[in-house]
Amino acid sequence: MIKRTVALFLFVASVAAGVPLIGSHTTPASGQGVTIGRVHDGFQPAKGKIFVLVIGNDAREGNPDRSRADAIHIAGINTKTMKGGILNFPRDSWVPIPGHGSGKINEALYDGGPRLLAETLENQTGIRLDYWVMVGFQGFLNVIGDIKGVEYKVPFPIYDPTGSGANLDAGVQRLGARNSLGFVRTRHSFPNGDIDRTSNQGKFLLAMLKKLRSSVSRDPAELMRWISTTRQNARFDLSFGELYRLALLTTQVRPGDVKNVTVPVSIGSVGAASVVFISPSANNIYQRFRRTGSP
Amino acid sequence: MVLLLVALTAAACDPSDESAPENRSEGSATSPEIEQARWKVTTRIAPGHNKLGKKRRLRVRKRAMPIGDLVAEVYDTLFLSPDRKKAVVKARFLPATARALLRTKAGVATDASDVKTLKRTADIAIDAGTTRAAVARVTVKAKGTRGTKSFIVMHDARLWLEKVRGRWKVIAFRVDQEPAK
Repeated sequence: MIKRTVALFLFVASVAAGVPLIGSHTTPASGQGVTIGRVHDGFQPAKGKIFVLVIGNDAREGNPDRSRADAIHIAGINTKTMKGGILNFPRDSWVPIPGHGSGKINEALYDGGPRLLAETLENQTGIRLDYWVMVGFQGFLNVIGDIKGVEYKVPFPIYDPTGSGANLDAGVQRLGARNSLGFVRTRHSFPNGDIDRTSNQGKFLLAMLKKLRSSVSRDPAELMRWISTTRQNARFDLSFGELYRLALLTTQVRPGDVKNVTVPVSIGSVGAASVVFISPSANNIYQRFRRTGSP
Repeated sequence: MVLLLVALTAAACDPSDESAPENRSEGSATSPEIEQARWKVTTRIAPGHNKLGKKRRLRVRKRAMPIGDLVAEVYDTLFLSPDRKKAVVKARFLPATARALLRTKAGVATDASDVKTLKRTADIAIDAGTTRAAVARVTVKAKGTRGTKSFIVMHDARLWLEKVRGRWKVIAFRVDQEPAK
């Protein structure tokens, strides 16, 4: 039987054109849970593309509100082609931080919260960011627990008892909350350390997208579970409608249409600090990402 | 329409959640003599809120009843009165979404005749947290005639809805329609 798909359409115009803002931006600069916010007050996303800064912080007991970024990614979606990308930045990338000279990119979060980190990345890439999502350890554990784990192919056995605590066998498996956190945090188990880790985090985001799509494909109402999980675990200054439409938009993006790219870097040092320098060739990636929504 | 509302109200109290709204037969693509399939509308709480009490569940599901009304109106138009499609879709969908649906060939053509629906179901799930978001899975099977040729259509759709200024509106949709014959 020949199947004819008559239409697939999402009302993304409302997201692209922006929906009414709510007044306050009282979300804390960081924390152990999940926080979501707009990068710019009164800014309406450019029609056709949406860029989200995804941050994983290292907030823990003792410093819940001043943390550094262990995971830094820009996720983009082209709402016309429904293709997208994840651009990963090693946390030791040496970049200019507005008002703070030059430093490791993860310090921008400590110095000025998600908005300063967003401003730093905007200056670096020329990409206008629309939203930021920041996840702490506890928030990550809660979300992965609520969605009952993520299926992931672990490339080789990982044992990192002193670092992330990861202890994983190789192969396809459902990673529960603790194992997922261990996997996205581990860097000692990989030859290129933090550079591999940031790439793995991008792959893990794609695994989450795959899980979202498969559960919504089984039952479209499963989307509500994901939204409910987000609402229960997150503090955000988006309206419910905006969150709903962004979630809907996300379900329409196929993981295969999302490129996972880590910015090219070279290893070096500044004083005693070991850092990575972003290669000038990254400019081509930024330009492509800006233009097409895919790096 | 009155019959439909009554049927949905009864469904809210019925553990089986099934209702059988009226048979609609007026419209240009069919005739009153043709008996249409009964609507089977189910309402449920969307996943994510499993620990609700019985009263709260009933209250939430009642909020989903107007969606059954919306679905029936839209689909009766698409399949039985396609000449009214533009007005009904514009009233029930957000503007950009309405324009997108009207660009598709969902439903039957305006010159179709003797359309008989063979199956009409809607599974509606509402978000209990806000009662402002819902999704409906709609299946319609219909047969009819166009010119000298007969056709059978299988239609499967997902409608994502949001309460906008107090009224349910379709904000997004996915429609798969295949000619079975």
